[in-house]
Amino acid sequence: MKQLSYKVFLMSLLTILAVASLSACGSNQEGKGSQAGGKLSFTMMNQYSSTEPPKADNPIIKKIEEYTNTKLNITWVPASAYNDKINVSIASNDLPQVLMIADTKSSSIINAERSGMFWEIGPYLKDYPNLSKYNTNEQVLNNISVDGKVYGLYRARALARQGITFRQDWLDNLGLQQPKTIDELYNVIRAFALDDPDKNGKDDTFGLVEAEDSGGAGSTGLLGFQTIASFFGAPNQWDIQDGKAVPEFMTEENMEAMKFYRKLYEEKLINQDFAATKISKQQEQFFQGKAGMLFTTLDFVITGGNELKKANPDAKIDIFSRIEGPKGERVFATTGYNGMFVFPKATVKSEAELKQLLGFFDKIVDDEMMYTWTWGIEGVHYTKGEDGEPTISDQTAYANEVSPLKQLPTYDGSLMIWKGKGEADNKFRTMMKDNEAIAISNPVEPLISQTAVEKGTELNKIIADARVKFIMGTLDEDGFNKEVKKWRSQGGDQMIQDYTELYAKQAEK
Amino acid sequence: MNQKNRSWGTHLFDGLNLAILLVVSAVMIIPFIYIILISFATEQEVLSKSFLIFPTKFSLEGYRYIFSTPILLRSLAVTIGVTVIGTLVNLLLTVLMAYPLARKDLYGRRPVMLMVIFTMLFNAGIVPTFLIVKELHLTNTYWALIIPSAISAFNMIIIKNFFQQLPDGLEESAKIDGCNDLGILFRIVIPLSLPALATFSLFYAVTHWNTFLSAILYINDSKKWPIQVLLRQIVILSEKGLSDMNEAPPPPSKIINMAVIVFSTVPILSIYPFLQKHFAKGVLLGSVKG
Repeated sequence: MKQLSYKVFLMSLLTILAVASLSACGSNQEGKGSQAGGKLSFTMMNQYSSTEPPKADNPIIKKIEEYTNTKLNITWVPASAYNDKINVSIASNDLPQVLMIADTKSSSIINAERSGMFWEIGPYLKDYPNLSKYNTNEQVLNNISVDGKVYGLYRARALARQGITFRQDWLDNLGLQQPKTIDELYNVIRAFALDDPDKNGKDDTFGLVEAEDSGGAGSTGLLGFQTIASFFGAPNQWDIQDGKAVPEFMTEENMEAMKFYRKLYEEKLINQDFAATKISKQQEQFFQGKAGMLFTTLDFVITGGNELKKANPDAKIDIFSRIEGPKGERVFATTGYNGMFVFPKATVKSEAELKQLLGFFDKIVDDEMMYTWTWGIEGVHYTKGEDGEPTISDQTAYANEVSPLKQLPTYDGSLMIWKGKGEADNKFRTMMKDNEAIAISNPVEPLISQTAVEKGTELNKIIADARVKFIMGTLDEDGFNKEVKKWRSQGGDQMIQDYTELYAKQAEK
Repeated sequence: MNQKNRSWGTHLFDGLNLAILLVVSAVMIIPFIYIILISFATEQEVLSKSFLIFPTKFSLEGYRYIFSTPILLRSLAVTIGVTVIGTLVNLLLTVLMAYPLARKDLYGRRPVMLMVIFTMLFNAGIVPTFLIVKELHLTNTYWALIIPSAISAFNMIIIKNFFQQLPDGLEESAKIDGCNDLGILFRIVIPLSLPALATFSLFYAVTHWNTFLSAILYINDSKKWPIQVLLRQIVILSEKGLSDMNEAPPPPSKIINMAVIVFSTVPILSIYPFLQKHFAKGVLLGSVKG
């Protein structure tokens, strides 16, 4: 009896395995690039970062469809779960014709690109007037390329987006000027903390509010640290010195920046619980008038300004970004994109079809459509004044219907200056544009180190922790260097070697 | 215990016990109260004060937002539907599987049990499961949320053990009285096992209520999403904001955040008191080996 039941067990196990493997093979594709009646129709997967996905009767989608004579079948996936969905779609080969990829450097995406799953679109870009205007920045193309090839149509974002947001009314109360150098910056932070900038007679403010950032391999552990480090002249994550890759935290400039933070911490000018402060908490403290400054993105002047006004209608907010450091004015550059569109070969069968899709993306960033992305639909979202300048008339409808769809075009219009947008809006755009000239990029961004893919996040944590400890004074300089040694021995040296070799190879080309 | 015999030690012990339990329950209850009260606060007050537990002004802004859009109500309806139907399917299938396995006279009981245990040790993972769901044409249907998780091997084994410790004589006498196997199951075994079944229906219901990832993976149509998809998106958005655009849609405010949490948690919470009495009994009895 006992032996028999084992046989039965094995047999049934085999049957199950056989059935399972059969069912795994026959996966077919549904989305066909049909073109009924000259109308282009395609499927797309994209994310949304609003509370609700765009509705089917969204007027902007209607307008795009009409304008481009297209039928869009978009699967909207919440941004909070997007990467899971993408990984399953790619692993099971269940792909739409256009796939937005948010995490462009994950190993599954890089493997898919290397295995030829997607069309290489780099060579086609020049044929499209608008795409070549917005999507051919060499720096950004370099950043998204894999082994020198461009597989995706990137969604362009401002390259130099970082800056400092602060309370202008506090500065006025104290009779101070906007800082131009690191020393002046320190003085402002100090005055914000100690000189009662809100004139309430209480010592209840601090100068700078900082927050933790556990955002993976590229993060420094603190949201604003990179900003101050670049003022001191530190590289953007990595530097190439004498042909050798050097991580940012092994440079002298990084140490100076850490000492600056340490000083702020010791003198209690920065929130003492910064290492455990979430970004929402950080912003909340700024809105509540407890802190006068935070290192963030320049466009925070708009969104943050609105929130600040809700809590304190008299508050004034402003931005600056150019601080003279030992190496002159510098800011660190972002990658210049947020995600990209790829075109799987399994669903986009021919070159002609690919060209049609690229044509669609080209068309939705022409002048008229850029106007739509910025303002919405006349009468619904904006009205034109007597001077012909538009103003947004229905902020709620705009936030619900226009903003979420900015996931769709390949350019968010971040550097475009529009007349009716208001002074603050134009100010941050002008700054972003001007700062591109002083933006420092990460030279190893396009290089793929296997060690970094496997261990990057984990290794980075060693440094992020050590940095926090150094700032809080529990580690001294030697202690920090010991942690750097630990980083090196646990795989960091391999990463340095990888990047050095890959960089040399790339330079040869 | 007699009143006279109580020493000061016992009093001290009782007092300490009471104090500790009060602290523990306060630690658990205060966050709930906080969430509920904030959901009734005004946005301005939440923004301008660092921590408040009693808002001075009550407002329904958060709930107004929830009811201004049909999507939250619709997903709540989806969740309730999936939970009710899903739990019924769970119970039915689990019992139908557990009862035969509890019968010692079933031929091939052991290999089947081994197969069940095999699935507990080795899981196929997301991708193969996704492929099966897709090949069965379950994607974009509510069944995708119900069928793949129809039986929890762990729960099934506990229920099986529960059935095993029912006296054999019961079944025999039922048989003598002319009852067939299905009759024994539905008229004798199930009524006797209600506490255990009530407990496991709660386990199953909570799992269905919290369904999130499978909805994202299997269902593309946002109209069919359960409420946890929305809840998670809203909470994560207001925690860190997921968009990096210059003109990103503004993150939902804290009061909306809290209102959605209340809205999506209260229904399942209100089931607990009704099943509470079966709870301890059901799990305890079920865990005794038969």
